[in-house]
Amino acid sequence: MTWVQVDDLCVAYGETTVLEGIDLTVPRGSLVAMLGPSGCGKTTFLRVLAGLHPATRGSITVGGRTLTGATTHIPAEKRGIGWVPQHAALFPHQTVAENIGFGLPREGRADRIAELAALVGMTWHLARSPAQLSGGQAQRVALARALAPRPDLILLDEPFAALDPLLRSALRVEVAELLRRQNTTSVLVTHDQEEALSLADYVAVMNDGRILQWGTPAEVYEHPATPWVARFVGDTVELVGRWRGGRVECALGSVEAETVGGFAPAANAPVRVLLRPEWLELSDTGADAVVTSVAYAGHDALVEMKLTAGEHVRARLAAPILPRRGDLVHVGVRYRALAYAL
Amino acid sequence: MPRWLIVLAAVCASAAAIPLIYLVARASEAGFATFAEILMRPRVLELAVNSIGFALAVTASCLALGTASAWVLSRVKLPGARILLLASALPLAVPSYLAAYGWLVWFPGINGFWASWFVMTVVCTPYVTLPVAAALRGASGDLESVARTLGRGPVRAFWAATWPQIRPAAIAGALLVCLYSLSDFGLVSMLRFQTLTWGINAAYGASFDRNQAALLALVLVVLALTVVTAERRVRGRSLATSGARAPLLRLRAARVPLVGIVLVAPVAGVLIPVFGLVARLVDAAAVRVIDPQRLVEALIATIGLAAAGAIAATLIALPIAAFAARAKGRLVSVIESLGYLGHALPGIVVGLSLVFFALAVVPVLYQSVIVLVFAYAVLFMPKAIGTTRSGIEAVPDSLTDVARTLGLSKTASWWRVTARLALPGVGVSALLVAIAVMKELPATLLLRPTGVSTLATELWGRTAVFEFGAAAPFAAALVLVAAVPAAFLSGIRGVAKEDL
Repeated sequence: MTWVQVDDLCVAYGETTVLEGIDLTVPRGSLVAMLGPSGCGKTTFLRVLAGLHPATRGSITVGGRTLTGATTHIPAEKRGIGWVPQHAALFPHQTVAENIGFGLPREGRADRIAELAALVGMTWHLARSPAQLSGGQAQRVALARALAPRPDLILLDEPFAALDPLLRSALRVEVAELLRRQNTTSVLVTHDQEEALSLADYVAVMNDGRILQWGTPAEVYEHPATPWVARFVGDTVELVGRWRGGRVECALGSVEAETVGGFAPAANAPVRVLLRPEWLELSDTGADAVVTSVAYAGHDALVEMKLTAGEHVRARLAAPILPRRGDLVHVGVRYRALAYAL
Repeated sequence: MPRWLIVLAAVCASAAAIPLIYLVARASEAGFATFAEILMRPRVLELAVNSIGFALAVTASCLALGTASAWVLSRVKLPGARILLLASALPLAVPSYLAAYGWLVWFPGINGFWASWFVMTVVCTPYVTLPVAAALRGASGDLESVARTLGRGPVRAFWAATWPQIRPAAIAGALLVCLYSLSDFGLVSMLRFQTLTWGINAAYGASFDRNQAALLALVLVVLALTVVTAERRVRGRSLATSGARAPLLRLRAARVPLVGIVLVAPVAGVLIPVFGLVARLVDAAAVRVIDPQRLVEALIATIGLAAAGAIAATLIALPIAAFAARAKGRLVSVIESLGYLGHALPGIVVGLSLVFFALAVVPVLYQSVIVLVFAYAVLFMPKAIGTTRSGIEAVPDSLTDVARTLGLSKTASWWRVTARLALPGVGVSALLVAIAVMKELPATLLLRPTGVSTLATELWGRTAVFEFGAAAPFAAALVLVAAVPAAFLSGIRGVAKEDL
């Protein structure tokens, strides 16, 4: 069931266009990640959803209620949208309890504060001031504060970016689970591919104020709409080849391939062949290559090889059985490749 | 940004321009011929030359003494370095005329250019010492080391590598000294050196020649605005350099003379005058020349005026600060510069033009407390704008945004979050203004209602007729209510020493 509906949303700061024709539908109870490089407009999109920034054109509907439209602009305080900013932004003059209760009516406030504190595991810290909290604790309080008034939608603006890596991965799993348990619809902004792919039900890849692709994490990773999306959401191996109806002829031999987004090349037409490094493998029947470098990462290694035809390819190979620099190997492909226009 | 706030900020800022505008209007009333005639009077030329010469001499000596002190403080390993740094800021807490009084107590015969130059120099040196010491602490010592390895001696290496890094701070500090020496009234008039400020007061007192007072004030304003413009150009031009700080030098043998350099300003600017004051106070108590009733009256008037001035300046500054903290563009810089005008206007000029203004526009208010408090607001608003503005700026936008997503309207989230968090900054700025009002002399002299005296005017009046003993209790009270809180405030983080 569609819960959030965004149609043809445009935003401009004076002459500069920041968002151009954004369309988005978010099903109820799902977690959507807006993934894009910094400056692509994803934070602006979040601010427009929250009503903190006006839209130039387009409409936003949440739960059947029009928040932004041709003639309507419901102010931020009347939208019922919760917001968790990047640096938690707790009110420094208030305790943890007062922060959580900030958006609550007087009646029943204490109960709701206790309930949320328990939910985010901060029950024993309610009397503390924000200055006494660690980064992770502050983010939990910010989340509790946003959830307290039971918003229709929660917006998370890179909430884990400022945390150290270990804490980051633990907290984001915890937060995603908590949001699902509450059946909250949420939009998460991030520039971290791993975060978007591992947490979200749907990923929207953004660049230059537009949504380039929308889909499940697997769709976005395995069927990227454009080579740019492919490079942004992960590592790529790119070669030039010729289209042979369902296969491509390239430096790796004849490889099974498919096109994306209705691209229909003529037979024998030159195409851009795109693979993920982990789609390559060492096999007895593969193309001949020399290992030129091995970047060891513990669980696996990124092995760079020079094919006899002169092209360089990188394969992500599972540790610990790895070739060494200078070894002669055979490179095969274990997943279908993607073909794009050159 | 709500429109009403912009309008309010513009109105408040224009209030600061009233004295200047009215002064120009009043001076042009006299007509160009009169203007030229007065300007050519040898007396006027002499006063202008005295003012300029005095300001330049004090600036040069403060620059030399301040830079040397700053170098010692930040480059030499000294016992009690922290205390020395605090001591070097102390002269800022003492009004210049109080230091002059302290010296007169010891040496009643001193007067004229050299005496004024010396006392003004020791009082103003911290304006150079403090920013240069800070710049030296931030400057990379690596550059100087590189210069040494490339064959320069210690002095030439400092000059080539480190001086360019601290030059903007030094020049900005020196220009502040120049501004204050031009504007100073109390010190030069106590030490009987006739500058423009002295001339304005004298011409005003001789009420038959108010044209001359207005024109002298105009000349002074032009000089002061020139200096302030120069200061604005230099300020903030420092080059950011990265690298390790220069290691502290261990100069055992030279320690005593080096500490001596640092101590010149605090000893001559604070210690000697305060000792003189205390000695006189004891004497005065012994010979019973103290007038307790006048003292209490002056104390009450001083504190009352300080409170009123602080409230007025803070209220007028608030919209300007709120606007400047959240907006950018030409309109903001115009409004903010107008708000800062009082910083450039000498107290005597503001006093004089508000006398003219009151007489011509609102005669009912002439010699009323309202005009006096307004003068304080114009003069000290810049202190309030700066601190309030940084208090508001320190509140991140994300906090008010969060408050809005939690159901508070724009105005409500401003009050409950921004205003609440900026409150300590506003309080500090009100206190700074109150202290400045208590120390203010020339505008108070011109604008005070008949029968009202402050500690400063009592001190000035008695010193002028050499009643040093009778003046002592007023000076002591002034130190207690103004200088001591100022010294304490200088220890608070975020309080610019120059604001004291």
